[in-house]
Amino acid sequence: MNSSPPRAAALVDLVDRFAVVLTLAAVVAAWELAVDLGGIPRFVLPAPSDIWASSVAHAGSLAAHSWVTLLETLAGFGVSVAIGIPLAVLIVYSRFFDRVLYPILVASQAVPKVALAPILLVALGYSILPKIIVAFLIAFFPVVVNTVTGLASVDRDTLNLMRSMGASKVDVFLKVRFPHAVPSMIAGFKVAIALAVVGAVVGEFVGSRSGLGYYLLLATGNFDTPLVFACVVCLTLMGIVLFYSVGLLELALARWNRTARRAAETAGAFGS
Amino acid sequence: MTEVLRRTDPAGAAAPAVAVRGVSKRFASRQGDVHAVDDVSLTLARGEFVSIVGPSGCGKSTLLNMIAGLMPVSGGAIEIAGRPVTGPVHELGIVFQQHLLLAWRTILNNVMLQIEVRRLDRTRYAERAKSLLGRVGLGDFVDRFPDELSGGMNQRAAIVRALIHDPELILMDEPFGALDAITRDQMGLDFHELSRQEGKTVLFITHSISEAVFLSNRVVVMSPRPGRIEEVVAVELPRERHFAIRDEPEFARHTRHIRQLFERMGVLKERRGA
Repeated sequence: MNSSPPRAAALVDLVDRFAVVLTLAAVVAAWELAVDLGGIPRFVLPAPSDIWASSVAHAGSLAAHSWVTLLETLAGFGVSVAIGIPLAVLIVYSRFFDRVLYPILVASQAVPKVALAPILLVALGYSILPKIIVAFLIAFFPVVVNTVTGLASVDRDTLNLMRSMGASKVDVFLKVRFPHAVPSMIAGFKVAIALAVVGAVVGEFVGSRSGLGYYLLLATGNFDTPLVFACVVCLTLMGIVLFYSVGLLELALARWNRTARRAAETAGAFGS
Repeated sequence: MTEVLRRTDPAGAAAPAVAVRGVSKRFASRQGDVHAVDDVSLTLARGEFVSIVGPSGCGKSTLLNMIAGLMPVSGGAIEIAGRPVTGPVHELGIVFQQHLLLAWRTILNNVMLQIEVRRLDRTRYAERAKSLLGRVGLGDFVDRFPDELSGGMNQRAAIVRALIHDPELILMDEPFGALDAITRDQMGLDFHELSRQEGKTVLFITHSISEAVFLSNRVVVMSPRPGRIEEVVAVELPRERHFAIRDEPEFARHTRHIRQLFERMGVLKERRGA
């Protein structure tokens, strides 16, 4: 640090940098005060300090249930990517998939997938599988759509140039279409990972013996509102960490993928 | 895929670089049948620099795409070095109006794309790529990315990409159209020199009369749609071109002649009563 910026400016800079943290701290403080002074019953709205105390008291259980939900989410997201990307490639390359399957897929998004959770429970029981399937059903659509958009948006002259070089379809895919699609795919991943958390929790709501969704329902049944909020905080933190992890993937890819780097620079590496 | 690299060809040695015979093109469009190109015949000798000038929509780009085998002809026939064109022709280099460099590849790797796709020897051509990039003034920028360079610099790299595999024929579709006037003049002169030194046959599409006259041995003047050849103007200027040629009366005579052709076709109109 050198002494050239005046103190006031340094303070403004500091406030700027920690604006998000400071704002959050202010909101939490106001919440605490409102609950204490307003005499709101603890089972309706617990104060942040109550939530914190409950989190500490149930830290072991929260961690164990978070772990289950995290696994379900990652599995659902992983299956979305593993099925979504090859499906997108088929849609871009196959007339049948483009003309017949893609419209059906788009229309199928009108089905409320959450409503399918009870059916899956009946079919597959209390295992982890129905949660993974609900997470997958919700998360895979943005993966497919964004990958299709990325793969298909290569301009015609570039494709003509490749043809004149004698490029095979594999060449065009590996050297042009796929790298071109990377930024768009990652944008889809970001939406998908957030939705996968929702899918996993809904799956747990419907029927399970573990996971944050289950634990949250259990706490609600016991009128343990601070613990309910603690579960919500865990889910929120999980969502943030997962979202940022995709952002890190984007940055890692940006090292070799110039388009991703530019997209990261313009959109903010972690989206906004 | 029918694309097989054809290399050796003893028959083609004496054939013209490009022979277009009675070629026409019709499209079915929403507005009905569009007659884009009508009965065009044109022959390019090896080492010739031929420009096609014409108003927008006269089918000059269509003609170039048909010569490159990227678009089928509706009538007539095209031969490149004696071989009939039936699909994409690989023995050439193309430069489009947009540079079409891949954003995630460095300048050098963009040039090397041509070599990778053609499965040619990378080490040998990497040297050639660097030397060609040096000759067009990009020697210090081989490891930069396209979005770090100006439009003119990127277009130079695109030209090098079209030359790297040493094709005999270069097709250019308004390659300097997106550049500012000064960059454009410089690029034209530089490219003219480069293509002459490398002994290339060039088919150059432009809508600039002076650019066409400045660069070419012959200028093909095309009419508005349906595109026909109105006249082929032989440019009687020294083979080596300098900017000063533009001030010569010979240069002015050629540009005036072509402009008058466009006036006669009704493409250019004098303002009346001004």
